[in-house]
Amino acid sequence: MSARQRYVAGGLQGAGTLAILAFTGRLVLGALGIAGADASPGLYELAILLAGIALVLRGAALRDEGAWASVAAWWDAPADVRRATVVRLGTLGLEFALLYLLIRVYEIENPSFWTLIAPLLIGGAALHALVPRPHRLGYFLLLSFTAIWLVFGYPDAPWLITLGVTIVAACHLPIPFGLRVAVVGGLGVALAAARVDLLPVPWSRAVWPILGSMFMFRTIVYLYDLRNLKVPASWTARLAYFFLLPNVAFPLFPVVDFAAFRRTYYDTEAHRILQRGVEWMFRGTLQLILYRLVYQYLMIAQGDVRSWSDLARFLVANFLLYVRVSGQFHLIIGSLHLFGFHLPETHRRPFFASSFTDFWRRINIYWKDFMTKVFYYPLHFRLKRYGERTAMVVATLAVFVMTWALHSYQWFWLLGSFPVTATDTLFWGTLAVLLVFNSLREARLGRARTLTAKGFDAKAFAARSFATVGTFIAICLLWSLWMSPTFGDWLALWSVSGWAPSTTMGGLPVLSLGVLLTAAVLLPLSGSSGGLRGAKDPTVFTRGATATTLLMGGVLLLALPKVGAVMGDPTARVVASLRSSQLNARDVTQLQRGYYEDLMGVSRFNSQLWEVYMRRPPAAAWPRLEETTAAHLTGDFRKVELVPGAKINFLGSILTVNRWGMRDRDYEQVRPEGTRRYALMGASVEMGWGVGDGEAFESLLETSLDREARRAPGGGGVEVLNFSIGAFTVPQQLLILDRVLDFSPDVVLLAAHEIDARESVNRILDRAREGVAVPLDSLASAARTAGLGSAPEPLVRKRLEEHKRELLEWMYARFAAQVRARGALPVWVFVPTPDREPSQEVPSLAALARRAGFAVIDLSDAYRGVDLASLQLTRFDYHPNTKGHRLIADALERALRADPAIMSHRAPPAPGH
Amino acid sequence: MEDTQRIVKDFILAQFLPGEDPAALEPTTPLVTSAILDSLATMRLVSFLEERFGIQVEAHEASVDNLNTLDLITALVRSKR
Repeated sequence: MSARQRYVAGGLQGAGTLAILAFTGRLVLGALGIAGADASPGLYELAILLAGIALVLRGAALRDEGAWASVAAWWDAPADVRRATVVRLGTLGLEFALLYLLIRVYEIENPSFWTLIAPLLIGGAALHALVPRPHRLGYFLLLSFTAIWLVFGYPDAPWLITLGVTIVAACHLPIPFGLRVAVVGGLGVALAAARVDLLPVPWSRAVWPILGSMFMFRTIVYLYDLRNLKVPASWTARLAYFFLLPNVAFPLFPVVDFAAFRRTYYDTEAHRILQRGVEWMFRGTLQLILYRLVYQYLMIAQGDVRSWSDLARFLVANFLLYVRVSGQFHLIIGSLHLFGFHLPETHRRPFFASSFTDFWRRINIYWKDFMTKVFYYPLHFRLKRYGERTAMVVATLAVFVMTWALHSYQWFWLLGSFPVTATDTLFWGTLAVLLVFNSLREARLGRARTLTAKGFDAKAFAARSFATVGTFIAICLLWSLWMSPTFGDWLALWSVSGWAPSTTMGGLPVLSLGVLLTAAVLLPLSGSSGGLRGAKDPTVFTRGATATTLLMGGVLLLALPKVGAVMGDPTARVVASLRSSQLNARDVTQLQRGYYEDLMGVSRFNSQLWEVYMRRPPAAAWPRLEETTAAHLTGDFRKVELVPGAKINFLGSILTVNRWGMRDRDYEQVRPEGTRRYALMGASVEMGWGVGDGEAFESLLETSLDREARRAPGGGGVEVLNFSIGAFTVPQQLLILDRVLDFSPDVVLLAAHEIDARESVNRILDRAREGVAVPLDSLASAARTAGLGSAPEPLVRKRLEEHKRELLEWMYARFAAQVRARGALPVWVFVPTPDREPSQEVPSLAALARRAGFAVIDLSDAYRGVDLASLQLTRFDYHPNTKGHRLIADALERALRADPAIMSHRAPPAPGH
Repeated sequence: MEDTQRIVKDFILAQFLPGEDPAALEPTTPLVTSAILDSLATMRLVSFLEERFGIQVEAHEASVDNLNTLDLITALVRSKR
């Protein structure tokens, strides 16, 4: 070993040691509370530590002569070989960077993933490549533990790791195998008891879904393989298998097979594995963007299904939502490729299945393999003495019984309850029967298989297309049954007539983007679908890398504001809406959802874990209005009102309630002589949720109008009284309208949102569930006609939803008439929220308000040209921040000034004044 | 060994790949991971191996580790005989 080689090795080790010391020093300073350092290390500190360890390991390896021999061999290789290596490394580096940008820009899944886990995965993979091969599995395990720490912190992270290690250790107790299984089962029962709060535990509820996800199925596979292992696995491999790095960000995780995990580890050249990983992660990201397109533009609420075309759309959209599972699984397995795990694909274009058996083979392949390995083969082998057909039929049926039971078992660990429903049972039962018939047919007639590409056969293509369409329709129907909470819900779906679609799908931009994204998802890139092609072709890497880089660059370009400006509306708006990282919070309560949506919608099943993922403060630090002392429950249909005189710190800002119960400064009830008065009625946005006193658009508007008015010769002041209360909907506004009119406003501004009609229906049903009667004769009569109190709630909801626009129009008309009767002018104001672009429904709502007797102001363009994310209160709370309120105030003032009819309208003083 | 491999290859070509060019099925051609051998086909192949070569295959041996290529299948048969 030359002196220069020693210097290189020593230099790397020295630099690594320095990094480790820097990390340790920072940790000690933090623990001592010196220099404001935080005792809890974050991503950047841990990155320094991880880089230090990688450098030390590489430096140590370079002290070996053998390591230098391979460097020398590379150096002596022909120039084109060396160039190819450099190009490969450079290309992969570029792809890593683009992939990270894509995940970040499109805010894939949750903030924990795009801010912590994605950089750890991609940066960690780069460092991992620096680590000598013998240490890479251990380094991967270290990265996995780091991911757990970053997401959970103290004390949940140490608890999760301790619990996991205990379970793995129990699998290796020096006792007979049967006893070991019993011990592991006992541990499982104890944890299940704790899961349902029968046993107290020192970790938070956020830990359960991830602990469950890591161990509920992998322990079964592991014990099965443990019994049949020829070569024992190292402890590093065992732990790495359970604590798979991306698992901490994805509770719904593919059932990775232990044997495959070991068998495929660097089973081919590293650059090919890395390239496939990048491609799958990219494909997964595209699918998750496609999911948003389906969710935001194709999916409709069950209550909106009125015609046969609506029904067809609902059925197809419900099934297509599954693309999110496929997307997540591609992202997960692709990311494991970055660490050398050359695992097989999890989905093979399930929407293109041409039979039920084909569907079973294409969708969630890891689940199918798990079932085949652990249940199908063992049972089939036992039963084959009764004949091939009997064994196949019984084993297939048993697999479906176990699939049904284990899906409930999965639900239990993730959600904490067993969802045994009739629709669930019927779905799995029907699929089992269809699959058995299909299998028997295949056993009799055979199935087309091929090793080589065949020429185009029009007849075969037509037959296959026909079978594919038929299978797709059948699965859509079955899927809708599975997604329905009850059989009654599913039946209610079918009470439709006519063919007219009820709501827009977003038109040509959505269709074009859908086609482009689908084409990109289906593109074979380097032929990495797990088939036979390309395994030995040296150009595969180059083709795959070039295609992936260009496509990633293209998708990133789409997100650039300048490109959006070129595309123009509405395409730019659609693309902008796809950059939203999560489900629309309002829609979550509206749309029909099913098994997978529930399991992936962490916000719905585990609020603690969702807070961890959103990097959100605990619930106590971000309360609902009714949980504060500034509001109290009324017990009637209004549900909540503000407490007069209250002053609290709400979400970090001061919220003051005046003596009249308004979130506003104080006013006299009698309108001062010469003063022009507006009354604003709205919900949380208008109330100024999360912004301080004087920062809501109502206050800003008042200040500006008042200042201008006083400048005019002889001009009186202007007052804007804010009667808005969080979560108020139109029926509630109607109930407080008389009190508002007692303040003699000249103009009453009713703030409107796209969800008003549906939220009004929700409020009726919510309050009815709490035993509160529906007020207002016509509303009560409509509720009675819909069967409220006599028919099942899904049916009542559907009936009310069918007439929600008529109900809204009736409420608007009543509102406007009541305001005009007191001489004031009713003005309907559409106020956008910064969570999404206003929909195409707004003009029709405005027309409805106009018919009902309102003057109309549409503020849809209030945020035009501004990044919506910059206007949100926080990344988890979509109410407008002070900047958002400023934009609304400016837009509203412009609209008011542009309409002399509103600006000049004066109401008579209240009688007696 | 060659004889065993030829017999297995003939069976697979006849049963699952009728009309396929025999040369396309090489000793290392993946069978399970390329979906040529699904669970039904695997069970038929196992029954054939047991009957033709007088061996007994266990449930856990019906895996990609033993059946993914003609080479692996041949090795499994040899280890059992």
